[in-house]
Amino acid sequence: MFTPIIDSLLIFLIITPIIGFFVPKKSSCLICGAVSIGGYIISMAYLLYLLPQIFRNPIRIPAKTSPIHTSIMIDVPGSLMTLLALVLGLFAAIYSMRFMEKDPGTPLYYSLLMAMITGIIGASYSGDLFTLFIFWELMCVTSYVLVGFRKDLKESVEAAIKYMLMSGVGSATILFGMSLLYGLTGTLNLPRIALSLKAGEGGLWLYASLGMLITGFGIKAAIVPLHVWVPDAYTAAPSPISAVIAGASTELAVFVICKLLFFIFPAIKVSWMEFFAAFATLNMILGNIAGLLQNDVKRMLAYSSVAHIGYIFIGIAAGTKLGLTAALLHIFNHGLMKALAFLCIGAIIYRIGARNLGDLAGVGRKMPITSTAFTIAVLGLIGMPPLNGFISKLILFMSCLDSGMLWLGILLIIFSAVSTGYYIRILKALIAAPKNEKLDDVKEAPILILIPICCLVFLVVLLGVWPDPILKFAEESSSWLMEVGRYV
Amino acid sequence: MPSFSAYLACAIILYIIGLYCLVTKRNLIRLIMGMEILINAAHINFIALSAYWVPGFIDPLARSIVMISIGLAGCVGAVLLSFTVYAYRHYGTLDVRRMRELRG
Repeated sequence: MFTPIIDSLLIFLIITPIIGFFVPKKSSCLICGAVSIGGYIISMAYLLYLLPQIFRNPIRIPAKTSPIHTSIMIDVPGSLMTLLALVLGLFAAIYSMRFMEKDPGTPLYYSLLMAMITGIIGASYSGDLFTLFIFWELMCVTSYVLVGFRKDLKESVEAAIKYMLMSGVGSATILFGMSLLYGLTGTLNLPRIALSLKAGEGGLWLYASLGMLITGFGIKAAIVPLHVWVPDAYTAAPSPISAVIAGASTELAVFVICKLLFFIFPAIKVSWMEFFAAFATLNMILGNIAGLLQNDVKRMLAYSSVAHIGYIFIGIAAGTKLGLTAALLHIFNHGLMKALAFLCIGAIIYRIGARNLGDLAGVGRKMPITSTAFTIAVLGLIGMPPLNGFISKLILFMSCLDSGMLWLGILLIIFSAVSTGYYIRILKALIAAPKNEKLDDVKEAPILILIPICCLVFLVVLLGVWPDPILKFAEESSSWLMEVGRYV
Repeated sequence: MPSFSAYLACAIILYIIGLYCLVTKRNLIRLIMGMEILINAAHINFIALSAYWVPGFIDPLARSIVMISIGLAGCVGAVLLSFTVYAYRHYGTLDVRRMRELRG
């Protein structure tokens, strides 16, 4: 239908609830989880098989092109995002096999999770605005349901409603921006839009459509005045869902912004570079200062997400190839680190049922593996040298120097230091002496929760010690995004 | 036949009405209606623009994106309405300003 990468997920998302209907309710969580893992693995294997071919030439499905064709374009930048989404989806599915076992309706949960990953993959592979919008909406609708999945809890219903209202306005704004872009160029195909905009000046309407697209995607990407839903939705969602939304769905919005800016709007680069420098500063200031004031660990991580989006925008604001490489690399690395942090706090919630800093005291002695993993995630988010967060922050700083925006680089370092303030509070809580007796009979998290955590720790450390492959991947992606001519 | 700018003006006015509704109203149902108005503004723009480029030819792609988007708007509306029911069960009201458990 589309490509086996998307198809295998689509087939498994239909099979999973059917199997869940026939197996006994008690074991349905485990069995459906195992079935859905099959979909992720097939999809990932096919992606890895295709990669060498993608590096040579993007694959277009269908192969014919005309202004009124829609197409999926399997290219290098999209593959970077797809790899991240599939890794996080796979780990979230393995994790949920134990984490969600007490909730009703788990077969549908896995189905929705796969639909969300499908949406992310389709949107990052989209070759035109039509496909982009449809897969974007697929991701949005499923993520609304997943955020409010525990519908008998007050907070998750409230968070879901807040999230839906904001994100729904975002989708409408995106559609309006797309219609303006369509009016300017007469086509929805991305390379064709790029070529026809290069030829002539768009004037006021071009700026209007750029503004609407940035606003719409910016709501999902948590650009600062539009970030209000982020702490609520991340806090109220089940932890594996927080990990996927923070690690892949928000990153997809940033990726799409990158793609649109460098693909369609390079002609008015100077004007959006300044805007993104301002957005980056705002995001860093608000994310880090608000993070300092939190007591709830999940909220703290949500605000740290807002701050990290600010770091990614530094790369976009630099506007050079190095800047785009740094932004894409930080998208990938931040996705892994933030997902790891959310999975760790989820494991702690699974065992002790609390997520306030005060209640966390002494967890480190009872759950050593989870706490070590959490420490690695937090150190990675700070940007400690042997971990992957350091590499991408270093390249972000280099891109600032490269494009003559030294002040932005200095702000990056200052706010990384400020952010250490709240990350250290988490570490302090983990290694503190146990305060209450409730912790006495707490055990280490079950093995199915530990497997994804350990795999992500391995990836975080590996990409910090040996960043060459992912760096090359990001470099190649940015060179594809910068040169539209290669697509035609 | 009215000129093209009339349709564009209509779409922009609808968009502003939708935003006004979202900013000023408190009832969840009204907010959902505001959101649908916003999406329909974009639809009108697409339909008007589909006949704009080549006289006498209507671009099928713009029409199909509108049709599919109507379906998607239906999905979003359905999900929102079902969560509205749950919100009413938890809070006993549809006033969004009373739903403030989450702060900070």
